[in-house]
Amino acid sequence: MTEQSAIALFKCLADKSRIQILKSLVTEDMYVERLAERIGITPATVSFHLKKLEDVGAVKSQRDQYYTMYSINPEIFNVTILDILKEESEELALQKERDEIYRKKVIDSFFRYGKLKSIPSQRKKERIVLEEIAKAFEPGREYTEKEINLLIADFHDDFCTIRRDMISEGILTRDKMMYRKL
Amino acid sequence: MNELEKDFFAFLDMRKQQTLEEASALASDGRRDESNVLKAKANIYDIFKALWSASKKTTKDTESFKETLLKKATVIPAQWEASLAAAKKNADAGKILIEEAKLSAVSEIMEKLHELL
Repeated sequence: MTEQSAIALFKCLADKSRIQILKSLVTEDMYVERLAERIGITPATVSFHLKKLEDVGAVKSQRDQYYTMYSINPEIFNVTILDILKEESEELALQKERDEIYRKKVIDSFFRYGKLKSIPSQRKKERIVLEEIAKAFEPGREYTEKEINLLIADFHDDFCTIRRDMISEGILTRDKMMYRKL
Repeated sequence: MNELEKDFFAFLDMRKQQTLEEASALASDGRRDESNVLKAKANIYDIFKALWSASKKTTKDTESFKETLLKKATVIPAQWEASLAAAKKNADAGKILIEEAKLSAVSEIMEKLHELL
């Protein structure tokens, strides 16, 4: 269920008459007039609520011989609220996509043929650049300072600044003169 | 004539008040959509007040006033009848509900008008 359809479903369910209709439909499939009698509202009002419930997929209808029978859609109600909350937000996905585009733009403008042209002065951009260089380090492996310097020097001559900034940004960790990618 | 107006307006005010109270009770009971339908119905009482006043302004004697008012009171709801028919044709449940509520107010008002005039 998408975030939008979850919102539409919750909005639709926030109505006493619709809850009464669903409670009736849980016991058995029913047609409009039967529901109206049971709940004590007019058939036109029941039809209005059923249309709303149908639009969000909460109920299904099936044309019988003379009547349209309505039933609960179990697919919707078998989903738990936790399942809905666990689904990745569309907005989050969009945000990730925007971040990825920005990241690529920064990398494209600061690297040329695999070499870093200059160290960005903006912290956000520098972090992206440092993360890109850190891809050269194997995760979990320990490096000596010399090894780290050599790897960084493949990208830029000022390996000391880059190494120090990587530590302050939490990309690298140093313990007893040994470096490891975090 | 003024007495008739007083009676009619008192009736409209009372029914409007009752309808709004009913709408408010429905909203408090978690039935907001049904409450909104009643709010639409409540507007009809004001529309008929306006029809009465407009008819009074444009006529000189009681007979022509009655004629004008009854004509207006038939022509305007005819649009809602047409709208209801179109909604039914297109199975527009929301519109059906609103138009039916408006027309139920019209039928109460017309009954009162016939009683008074």
